[in-house]
Order: sequence, then structure tokens, then C-alpha cells
Amino acid sequence: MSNNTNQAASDLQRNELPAKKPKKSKTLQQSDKKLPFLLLTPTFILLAAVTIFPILYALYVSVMSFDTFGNSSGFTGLKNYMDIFASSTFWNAIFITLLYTGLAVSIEIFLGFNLALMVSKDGKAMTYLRWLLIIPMMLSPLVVAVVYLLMMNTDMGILNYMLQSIGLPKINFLGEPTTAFLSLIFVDVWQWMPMCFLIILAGLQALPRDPFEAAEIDGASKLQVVRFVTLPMLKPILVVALVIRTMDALRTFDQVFVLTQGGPGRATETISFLMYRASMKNSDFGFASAGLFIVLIITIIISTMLIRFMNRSQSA
Amino acid sequence: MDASVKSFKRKELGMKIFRACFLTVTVLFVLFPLYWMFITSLKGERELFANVQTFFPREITWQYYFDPVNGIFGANSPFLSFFINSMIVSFVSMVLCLVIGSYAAYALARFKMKNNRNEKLSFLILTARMLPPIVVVIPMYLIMQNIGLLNTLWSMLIVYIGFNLPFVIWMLKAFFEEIPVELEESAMVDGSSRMRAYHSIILPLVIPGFVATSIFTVILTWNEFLFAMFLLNSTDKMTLPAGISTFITQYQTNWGALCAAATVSVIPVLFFSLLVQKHLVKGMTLGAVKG
Repeated sequence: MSNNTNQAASDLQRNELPAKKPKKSKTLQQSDKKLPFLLLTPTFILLAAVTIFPILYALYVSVMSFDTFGNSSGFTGLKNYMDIFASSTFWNAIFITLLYTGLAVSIEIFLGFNLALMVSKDGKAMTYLRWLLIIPMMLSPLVVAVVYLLMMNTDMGILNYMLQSIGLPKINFLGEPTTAFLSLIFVDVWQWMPMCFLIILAGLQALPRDPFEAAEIDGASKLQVVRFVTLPMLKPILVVALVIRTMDALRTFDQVFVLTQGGPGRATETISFLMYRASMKNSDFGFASAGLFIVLIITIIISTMLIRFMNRSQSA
Repeated sequence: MDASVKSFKRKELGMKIFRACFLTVTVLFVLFPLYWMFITSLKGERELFANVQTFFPREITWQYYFDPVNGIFGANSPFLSFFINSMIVSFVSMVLCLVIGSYAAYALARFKMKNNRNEKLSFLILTARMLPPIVVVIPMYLIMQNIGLLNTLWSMLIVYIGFNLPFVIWMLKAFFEEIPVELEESAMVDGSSRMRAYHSIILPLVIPGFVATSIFTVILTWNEFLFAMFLLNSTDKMTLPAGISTFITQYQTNWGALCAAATVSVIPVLFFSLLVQKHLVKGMTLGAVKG
């Protein structure tokens, strides 16, 4: 949508400027040729400094070997890449990350959609509700994880206390592979479901009223309206929520760092956490840098697919 | 006829009650962890580890905040330096980001380039944001070590300016696009230069946009943990998230102090996020949907 306005703005400029005062606009256009690049230069220098330069440096590091103290000890060719491909921990981390992202994002969008449907009608109450519901997504994931570390504590945590007081057995939230994984997803949903809700709500409120009225006149049930009117019209917005949340969930680190440290075993070791462990704890910078390129390639593939999907659903 | 209307009304009422209950539960679900964090910071040691947990602290103690020995504002605690570091880094990087980003955003929003290059450049900038930070942070650690900037706030500034730029540019671009082009045109027709028109006419009009963008940038920086954890390793240089993470030690976590620190670190974010509520959707989706 921003494309359209941008297009419109530049069309305006192109068509109307010369028409008004041809003489002046010619000099204007000439100065316009260099100016935008001048204005963009600092941005591109900085962006290159924090993205392209480190990536090139990682490329260099990935063909070097490192001793246990993290000192470079010579060229090793593609050995680090071979190690990565042969490493079961690496593929485990990829699997965990994808499973985590898939589960967390689908739950968030499902709940966010239902919540948005439920409150989309009343306007006044919404401002206060939204005011409350935005809070989790504004907090630092690290702080959220710290609070949940306290609440999920097996002995003194409030969640187990509540379970016990209604007669249920204690759950070792962060100590068992499956529960630890699900606990992380729970925390993710708590923090980011509000964001899906917010995006979807904005989308719902921007929909035209007529199709809904027509469906009502035709005697469609509420469920049918959602299935055949709301969902198809809302698809572009749902895809936007999907894209944004997927990108974020793929890089999950803070929660893992605080809550499980990748454990128990490797049950919650996301790719970001594995890279952290390889580089900062084992000082194996060569291995980590080689791994980064595989992560980079996987991210590029996923984001390209998602963006294709987004563009198609927006133009449809 | 009358009966069916009545039953219909009863059904509506039932729906309303169900919705009210559902929403109340949702709100409680969302707010409870924050409430728990706050009251844990007010409980004494005995109450914290008691067998019976209390939802309202029986005795309120502010020792984890203001006690000269144990409190986070006490002389021994590094908390205040975390807080100050976070303020410095967020504020300085925000100002620089806004200065650099505003020109870029203006160029992308207003100038017609060949072959639709605007769109391509904007997208290129956005891809920098899609890059997973872990890909960059490990080489960044080695680079900073080589040039001697590891464990300094300079390294944080460089990283945060660079990484927040795409966000700032996309946000401001959306605000610039809302302003009619005719405003600048008339100024330029009257003989002022492009940059003068920008500074004197456009800039004052997008001040609300600048405010919203700056608040978002501050929140993003304030909350960032990964870069801070990699690039800062001494307590006096750490920002809040990195500092708070050092409070969790394997054997003995001081929960009272931890929750007090978490509470204080959250207050500015809560305050700021209320100010940008209106722009939330735009900010969160980077202009992908118009909110």
C-alpha cells in the first residue's frame, strides 16, 4: 500500500512540476539528480559497516581455524563447513528453531485473530483494552523471561503453587525436554500474541462494511461470515502478521538464554543460542562463522518465500 | 413473535457476558506477570520463600529498592550505572539515527529516480533489518576486539545506529509521504532551494512523526540484549538487559533485587509506549500495513 502512495507522490511530482514552470523545474531536476544520493550516502555507509563488512569478515573467519583460546591459527579451507554439515547439534538447532517458529507463530495468529474478532465491534472500550494489551510486546524479552523464570520455578514458582492449590501435580516447567520447549512457546505467545492481535484488529477495522451487510441479509451464520467473508478479505493482513512474526521468532535468543540455556540436553537450543555457545563459550569462531552463512542462507530462503507470498496475497 | 425476540435478546445478553468474561480473563492473563514481578520486589525474604504464596504482600518492604546495602539504588549496586548506560546509548543513538535517517527517508519518499530505484533502495534498506542479529554479532565481536572498541559504549552506539536505521527510515518515509508535495513545490517555485524547503516547511510538519519514531527507537534500544551481551563484558559498561541478566546466578538468585531492577527498567517503556499507542501498528509493521 505504501507503494501506491509513493507512486502517486512521484507521479504528482513528475507530471505537475514541469507543467507549472518548465524553466525552473529543469534546474530543479538537475540538482535532484545528485541530491538524493548525497542524502542516502551516510545511511549506506553505516548500513555497510554493520552488515556487509561483518559478513565479509565472517567469510574470512570461516576459513580459519581457532585454538581453544580463540586465537586464529591458520587457514583451513572448507573444514569448518564440513564440520557444520556433519554436526548433529547444528541440524538439531535448525529443527528446534523451525518447530518453535512454526508452533509459536501459528498459535499467536490464531489467538490474535479470535481476540480481534471479539473486540472489533466496540470502539470505546477498545482504546482501554488496547492500552492494556500492548504492554507485553513493548517489554524487553529479557525482562519477560526473567519474570517467567521466577513464575515457572519448580519449588517457589507461582504457577506450580496455583496448580497444586487446585489439586494438580507439580510441573517441572523448565526441567523436562518437552515441557521446557512448550514453556518457551508459552512465553513467546504471551509476549507476541498481542502484536498479532493488534495488526489483525487494524486490518479488521479497515475492511469495508458492505460485504458483511450483504452476508447478513443473505442469512449467513456468524461462523459462515468469518469463514467466507472475513478470512478471505483479511488474508493480506494475516500474511503481514505471519511474515513479521516469523522473522522475529527465527532469531529467538533472549528467552532461551534466561530460561533454559538450550537445555535440558539440547531440547530448546535454537540456532541463535547454538551460535552463541559455539563462539562465546567454546571460542570456536571458525565453526560459528561457517554456521552463520548457513543460517543466513536459510533466512534468505524463508524470507524470500514469505515476501513472494505477501506480494501475491496483496495483489490478489 | 414476542417470545422469539425475547429469546434473541437473551442470547445477545449471553454473548455479551461471555465476551466480557473472556476479555477479563485475557487481560488478567496479560497483566499478571507484571503484577507478580512488582509485588515480588516488595516482599520480604521470609514471605518470598514461604510455603503459602501471597497474592498481596502482607508486609511491604522497599529494601530491594532503597536499602543502602541490598537495594538496587544502594551504593554497592551496579544498577544505577546500567540505567545510566542504557539512557546514554538509547538517547544518543536515537538522535543520530533520526538525523541520518530523516535525510535518507526524505530522499526515498520524494525524489523520482530512474527505473523505480526508490523502491529497490527502500527494500534493500529493509533487508538489513531482516538480517538475523546473530549473523552479524559474532564477526562484530571480533572486529570490535581488533579495533579496541570491545566493551565500550562506542561499539553499542555504532551497532544500534546501524541496526535501527532501517526502522527509522521506513517509519519517517511513511510520515513524509502523508505530506502533500505541493507544499515544497510552492516554496521552490518561490525560489527557495530544495533543502531549505525541507528544513523550513516539511520538517516542522512531521514533528509528530519524529516524536513517534524517536520513542520507538528508544524502546528498541532499551530492550536490546543480544548485542549488549556479546559486546559488553564489564559491569560498569553494561546496559540494562545485559546487566539484569548478570543478576541471575546459577545457585542463588536474589529474586527481590532482580524483580526490583526489572520493575524500574520497565517503567520508562510503559510510559513511552502509551505515548506512541496511535502509531503502534505502523511502527510494528514497518509500513507494510497502514494503521
